[in-house]
Amino acid sequence: MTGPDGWRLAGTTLRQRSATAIGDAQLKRNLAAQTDRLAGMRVRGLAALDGVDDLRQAARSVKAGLIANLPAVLERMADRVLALGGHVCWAATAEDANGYIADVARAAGARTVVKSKSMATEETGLNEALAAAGCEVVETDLGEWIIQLAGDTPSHIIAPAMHLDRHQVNAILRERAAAGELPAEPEAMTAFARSRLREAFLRADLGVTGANFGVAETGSVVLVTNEGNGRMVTSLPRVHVAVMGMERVVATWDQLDLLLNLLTRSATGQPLSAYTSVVTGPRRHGEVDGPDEFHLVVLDNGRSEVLGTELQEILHCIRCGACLNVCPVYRQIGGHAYGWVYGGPVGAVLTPLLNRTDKEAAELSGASSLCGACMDACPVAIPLQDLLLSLRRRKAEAAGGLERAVWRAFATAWSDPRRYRATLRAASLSRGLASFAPSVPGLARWAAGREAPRPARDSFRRRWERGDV
Amino acid sequence: MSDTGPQPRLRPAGAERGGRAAFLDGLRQRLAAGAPANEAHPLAAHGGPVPSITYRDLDPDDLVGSFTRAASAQRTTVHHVPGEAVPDEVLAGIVGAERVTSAVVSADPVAGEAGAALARLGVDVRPYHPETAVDADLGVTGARAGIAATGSIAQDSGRSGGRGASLLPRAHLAILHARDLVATPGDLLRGLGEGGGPPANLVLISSASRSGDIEMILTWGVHGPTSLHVAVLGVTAPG
Repeated sequence: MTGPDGWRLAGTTLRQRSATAIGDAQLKRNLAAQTDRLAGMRVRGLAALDGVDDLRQAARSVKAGLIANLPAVLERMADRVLALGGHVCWAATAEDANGYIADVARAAGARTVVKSKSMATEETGLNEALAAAGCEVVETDLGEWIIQLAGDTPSHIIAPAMHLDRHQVNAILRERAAAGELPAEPEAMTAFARSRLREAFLRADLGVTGANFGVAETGSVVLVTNEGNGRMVTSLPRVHVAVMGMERVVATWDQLDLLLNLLTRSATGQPLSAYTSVVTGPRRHGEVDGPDEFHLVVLDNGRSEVLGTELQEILHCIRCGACLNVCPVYRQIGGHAYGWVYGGPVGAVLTPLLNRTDKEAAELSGASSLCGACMDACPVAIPLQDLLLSLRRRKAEAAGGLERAVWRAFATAWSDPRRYRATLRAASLSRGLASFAPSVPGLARWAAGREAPRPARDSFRRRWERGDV
Repeated sequence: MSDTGPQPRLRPAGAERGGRAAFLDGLRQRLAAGAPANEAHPLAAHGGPVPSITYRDLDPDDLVGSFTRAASAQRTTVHHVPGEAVPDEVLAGIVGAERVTSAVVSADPVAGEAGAALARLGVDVRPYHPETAVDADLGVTGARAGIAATGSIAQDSGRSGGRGASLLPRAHLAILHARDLVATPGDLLRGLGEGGGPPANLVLISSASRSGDIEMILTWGVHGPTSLHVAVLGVTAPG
């Protein structure tokens, strides 16, 4: 798997990571407070629009049309960027993307690279690749900078430091950024970050951003930020590279209008984020700032493998984070327990798809109660619980012979009333699955951590037949 | 809303790397048969017009009032001006409130006028350049458009001669004419494909710079301005 060494997926199990998270009382308090705040902001933000459910369904249709037509839309996007004097890299893999950006950095003689938050580059491990190429890489989103200083990984799509409270942030700034006697107040810590990061913006030669959207009609990249770091990164360095997951492109500005409004309200409840930047090629005559060079990296990195499958709809995701905030599992275990870049329901679907060879990634479809809150919150109405079920089905089909035989026997027994009653009698005699399941080869792992009910001596059915109830 | 049209590029068409044909052919092959239908939650047919959004708080007959309410809710200070230039007393109020001793002005003509007035008030005023703006107290710009439903202003790098006058100084004053107000984001965004397309950099500014990255507690002035003032010119009716 590609990614920073800090990613937890390799060498650990979902069960271990969840147990660690649940045992952390501080994390639990941080998660509860912050997911509640974000979820509440979303509800208030969407309440100001008419017919939100119709808009969500329309957005689902728009995205379906775009994905079905993706090659043509991407082609138009690329042609427009080239005509504007920009450059385009078709990156099939993370290595292709990182290699290209490292070459751009070398050609620009870049020593310092400033980045605005980009999940796509978390996926590709760009920071490590640029560091290996001799660049100083500075994350400039406040949360992402804190995480970078701590040597940590983001735990939420839009709020990377959600797992930390102000005291933990303060300790990181004091230990890792020589913040001195900085008080543990958000205002003071923000002011400290402003002065430190402004120095980085001014000395940087290369700015790297993600892309909330590409708009093929005009070859524009749309960036949504609140802090203004996205603007700094696209205004001050001489070179701008935008890394766009290939599914993030829309064809037209009316599609962008619909999706942008749903994105910001679903993410933070804001009517629009503080800054919606539309970047269309490099700077033009008469402008005293802005990049001389613009590069668009179109990233596949496993996405195309999902096309044409029943899981294709996960490519509709616009990365608002709403499904994380409402998920009863995410709210307990946080983003790190998912082990990779994306947490929550969307992460439970995307991670195994983008890390197909990793057996542990396949476990993530279990990190869901299938309650459907994620689909209800999703601004583009992705049926996440259906996708999670599909992944569970795939996993079951790939399971070992004994496990499959046990489940087949279970299905046969419980689909017939007589056989069902017989199993209950057997269970009450053995006083519970819990007592024997761990000792059955192949079931031990399934049984660990589960508490099977202890059946009554007499079933309700028999007591009913006897007239006891 | 008028448009200055596309600005000439600095260089010819860019280069491409990584094999477009192979990349896209792979996608075409995978998409050829179409994805299996989702029976639990069937997908509606796609291809119709993209619906417009209806904003409950928007009064289409009072764009100035709607803009002012939406902007104020995001902590933006809105100044209504009956005439065609920002009066000295409004500027003096901003200078006092934001403790302004230095300012940079963008290339928008309307910003230049305000800059001259600020200089008369004793402010050290310079044309925008990244180096002059970094330590400036105030950046003064025009605005290509305002959006009533969201309280946003649009900054166009082609008109203002750059990006940073609205970004680098500690406070930002944008001068918007009431006739350049549109009702919704869609009214601006849906027209960006027309004419010469968008400028190199168009930014919709909906508040001062903010963050909630520490405990979701709102803090202001992370990288961009700590405060945002919008002077709306040509406001005839009480708003």
